[in-house]
Amino acid sequence: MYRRLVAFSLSVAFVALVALVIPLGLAVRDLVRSEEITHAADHARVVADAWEKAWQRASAKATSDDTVRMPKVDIPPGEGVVTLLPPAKPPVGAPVDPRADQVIHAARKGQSANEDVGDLAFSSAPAILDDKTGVVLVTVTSEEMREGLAGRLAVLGGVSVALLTFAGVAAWLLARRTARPILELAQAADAMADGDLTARAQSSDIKEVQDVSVALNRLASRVQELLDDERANAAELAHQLRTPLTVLSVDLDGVADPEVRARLEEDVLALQRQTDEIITAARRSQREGLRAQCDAAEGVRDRAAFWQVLAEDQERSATVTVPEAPVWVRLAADDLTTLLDILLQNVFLHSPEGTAYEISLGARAEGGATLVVRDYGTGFTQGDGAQRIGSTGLGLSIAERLSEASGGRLDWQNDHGAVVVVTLGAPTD
Amino acid sequence: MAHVLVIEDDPGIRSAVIRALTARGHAVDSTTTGLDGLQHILSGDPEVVILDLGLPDVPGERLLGMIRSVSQVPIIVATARDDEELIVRLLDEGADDYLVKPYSPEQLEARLRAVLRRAAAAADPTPAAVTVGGLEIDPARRTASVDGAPLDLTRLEFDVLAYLAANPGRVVSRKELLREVWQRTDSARTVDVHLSWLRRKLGDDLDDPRFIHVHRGVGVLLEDSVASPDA
Repeated sequence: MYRRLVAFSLSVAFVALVALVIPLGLAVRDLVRSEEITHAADHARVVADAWEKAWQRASAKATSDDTVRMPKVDIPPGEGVVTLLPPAKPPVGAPVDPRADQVIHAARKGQSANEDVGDLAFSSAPAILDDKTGVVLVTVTSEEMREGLAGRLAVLGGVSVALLTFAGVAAWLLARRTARPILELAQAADAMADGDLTARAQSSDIKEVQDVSVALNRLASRVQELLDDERANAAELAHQLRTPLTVLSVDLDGVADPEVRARLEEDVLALQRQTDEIITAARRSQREGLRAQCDAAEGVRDRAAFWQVLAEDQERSATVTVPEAPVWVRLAADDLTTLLDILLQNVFLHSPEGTAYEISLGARAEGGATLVVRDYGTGFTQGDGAQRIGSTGLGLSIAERLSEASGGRLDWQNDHGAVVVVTLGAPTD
Repeated sequence: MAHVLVIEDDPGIRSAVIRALTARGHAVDSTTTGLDGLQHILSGDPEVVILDLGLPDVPGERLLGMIRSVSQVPIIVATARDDEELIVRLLDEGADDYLVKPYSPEQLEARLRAVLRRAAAAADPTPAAVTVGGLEIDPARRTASVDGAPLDLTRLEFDVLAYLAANPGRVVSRKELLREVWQRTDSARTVDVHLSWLRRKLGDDLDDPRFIHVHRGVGVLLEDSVASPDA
């Protein structure tokens, strides 16, 4: 955002400068040219004055006008190339360009004149030589007229660069001031998305940002309220379901017939398992928070190590293949633990001691993971998949529900033993 | 037999618990609110309290603190919630034991016996720890040691060990351990894996164990075969 705002501001400043600097540069060029011609005119006047004085001195020494000869004129240093055009005599000095006729003609009539013909410029001045008029012609080349232009254009360029730099700094400061509250807002939103509902967006003096901050904070408060409600509902559900079960369980004490009592105890136990499952499912959103995710690699390593001791006691060979890098899946860490414990528990429950088993976890290209738990026991028998995983089938339903909640699925098959393949979805962005 | 106070607002549970405890020879009083229960503790001097957390007038956790500020009577908390965080908090706040609903009369009776035994031991100037040969378990401090070396146990590992130690010379089935310690319906393999960890931490050899003796198809016996005269 910073870069975009600065780039935009610099672009606007650059266009404005270009629109300003080009005509300004042309004006500077014309001004320099005009100054050079003015200097040439001044020079012509100075030379004319010097010529008139020299002529007067020569005339005073002559016996008659006819004897006055072209005096030597000391030409002071100045702009352009000087040509003296005495009356009825050939020009003295540099050759005369034919395009200078007009200014020469004007000077002959007693008027100074200037003319810019592109590659050259002419300035003329009349010199009064007794009763006749001589002409001083100064010719300025285009090279001479460009002298001084480079320096002025460099100053103009420097000013432009300074203005552009100033615009860039001003744009950066403005961008920072504008972007900071938006970045803070984004940080607060990220913290909320990661489950920290105590995070709040700060107030801002930018109205639009302030409006979004207020809305975001209100949303976070509302989500917190809903989660609190859900937590309370789950607790109430547990209370509502377990209270009558407790009454039933304690009242079994009054059943005298041991056979009936044992049967009823089994029924209460089965009911208790179903109740536990319902309560566990109701609490899933609490475990997950706003964003369900955990590192499956870490979870698998942890549970594999936990069950490893029993494997060693039962002389089972356990092979665990887990990537070093984290493998993120859309499941709360507690739920992944439950899923793994169900699958491993079943390996120990339904295969004889000494039976080897393997756990492998791999990241899927589309995100999420594939978990395979295989044992080399007797495998599944026809139609007993549900019973194989958990003596009541509950284990299977919990494991299936958890894998489906993560956007994946659970499959089982026989391949030199029992193989359970669980796909787990990737966390939502 | 003990004088038990049941603080429980649900009439079904209250009457069932009263019936079960009375049938086992206990003298039972009951109240339906927390404040009545507190009044009863101050005036009636019960030997043990069974406290329901979901009371109508005052939250059970708060009442637990209020009772602890005026009395050291043993308290067993009965709760429909089974999350670890809550259970640990309750124990830290002064509960002597807890029962997750639904519970059986046998569980209730076993918990009553355990807390009464601990209370009696606490009143006795002699050490309250339970010893099984070289294994010493202090339920009040929740610490255990083997030949003086302290053990680093998880909550469940300690509870399993304490339950086995509380039943000396008796083979305890996995089902019983599940019911009494986990108070849940997990598989027996959960018990096995915890027993495996316990065995490691106790330094037991699987083939020639010192403390945890597995009787195949029956259950587990805690006995120090080194200290035992039969060993």
